[in-house]
Amino acid sequence: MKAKKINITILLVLLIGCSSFGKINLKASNKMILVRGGFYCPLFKSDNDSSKQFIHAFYIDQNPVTNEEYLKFVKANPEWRRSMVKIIFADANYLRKWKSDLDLGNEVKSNKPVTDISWYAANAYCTWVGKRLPTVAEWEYAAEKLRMINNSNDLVHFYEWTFDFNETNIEASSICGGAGASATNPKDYPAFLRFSFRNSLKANYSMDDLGFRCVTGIN
Amino acid sequence: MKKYILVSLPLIIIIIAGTFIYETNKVRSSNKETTSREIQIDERSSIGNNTKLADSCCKELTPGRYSDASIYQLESVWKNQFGKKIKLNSFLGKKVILAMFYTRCPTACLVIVNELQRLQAAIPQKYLDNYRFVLVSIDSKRDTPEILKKYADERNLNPGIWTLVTGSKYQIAELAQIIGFKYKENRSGMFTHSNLITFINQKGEIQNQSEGLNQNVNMLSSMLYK
Repeated sequence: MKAKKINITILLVLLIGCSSFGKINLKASNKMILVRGGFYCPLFKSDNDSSKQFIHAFYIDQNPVTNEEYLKFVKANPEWRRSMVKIIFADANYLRKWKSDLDLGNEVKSNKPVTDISWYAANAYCTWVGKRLPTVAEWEYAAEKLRMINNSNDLVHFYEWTFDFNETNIEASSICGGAGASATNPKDYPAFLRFSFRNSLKANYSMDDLGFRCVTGIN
Repeated sequence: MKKYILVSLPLIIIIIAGTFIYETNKVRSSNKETTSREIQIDERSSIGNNTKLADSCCKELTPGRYSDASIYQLESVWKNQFGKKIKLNSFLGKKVILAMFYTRCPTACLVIVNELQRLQAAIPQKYLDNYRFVLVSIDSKRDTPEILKKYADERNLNPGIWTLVTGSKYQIAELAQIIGFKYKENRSGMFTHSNLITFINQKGEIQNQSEGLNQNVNMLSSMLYK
């Protein structure tokens, strides 16, 4: 009888232990959502590529990086403060709505996505938090899977940096397997807009309505 | 009862260890690797202030010799064809002719390298040391220093003048963005890419660029002397 009791206690303790380890994992992927692996049909593709592309599972930030989060980053990394940043890494509009280097001021809301940041800055932030920028394919795939866009009026005219935002030699693909219920569908007008917008960017541009979020792979 | 204590003791230790890991994780996610980051920040801010930089891999720089628009603001560390770590600013003071390429590239990169070789031949011997030819590989997965070395040897690229470098996917993308070089790897492991020769002045500022293949050497050398 006693042995049974001990067994049950061990089981209980183990269960509690496991669940607390589960929490650790959740905490490490802070406010991130799992995007399961699968096939993505690129809106554009290069000649040699077959139309479908396999995307490995990854975690993506649930929301774009906020002003508050970005403020922590510039506090810890002085070279990314507005007055310190090099023109080669961010143009003159960098963080222009902030009151000063470390003061958001009254007009910029701390919980809103940070904008007016360059591609280099977005990359540096993601690296700093141990993540990276998503590729175009990952971003579009996640957008499709999670409906992370179009669900809020705030985000209708909001764009996000991607790691390979202006890759070259892309040509419109006409067919992408299956029934065409994907981004290759011409009715996906926002996706076309995003692609043309991305191609108009340069990496040191800092603009209104252009923010970012980070991703991590799954190890 | 004794048995009970014996069993439960290790379990309590496990729980304590679990909580400890949980807490450290919490600290990490909020404060993000403070120690290693601080070191990096120190290094970066010293560069930002253009103070002297004594780096294990790179020679010392004289303060204020490059501007905010200089590609030598890039701090990424590359590996050259001898496996030695270098920063781009080790070319400070030289006129640099830079091209991005990859060794398995079937045609276009060879044409570019040939052009650069013809360009080198057009420079009078006594001025040659004022110039450096830099080939940056875009194939970080496959182009190891050994492969770069082999590539350089096969083409008789003088190691005193020619540097071939390889780096991480990110630092390649970063440099490509700065010089406006576009590339994309397809699934067969080949790249589609711009054909771009970039002329960089002694301070690391982009002076001129030539896009496209089979440029006239006279035209290219006119860029050299601008």
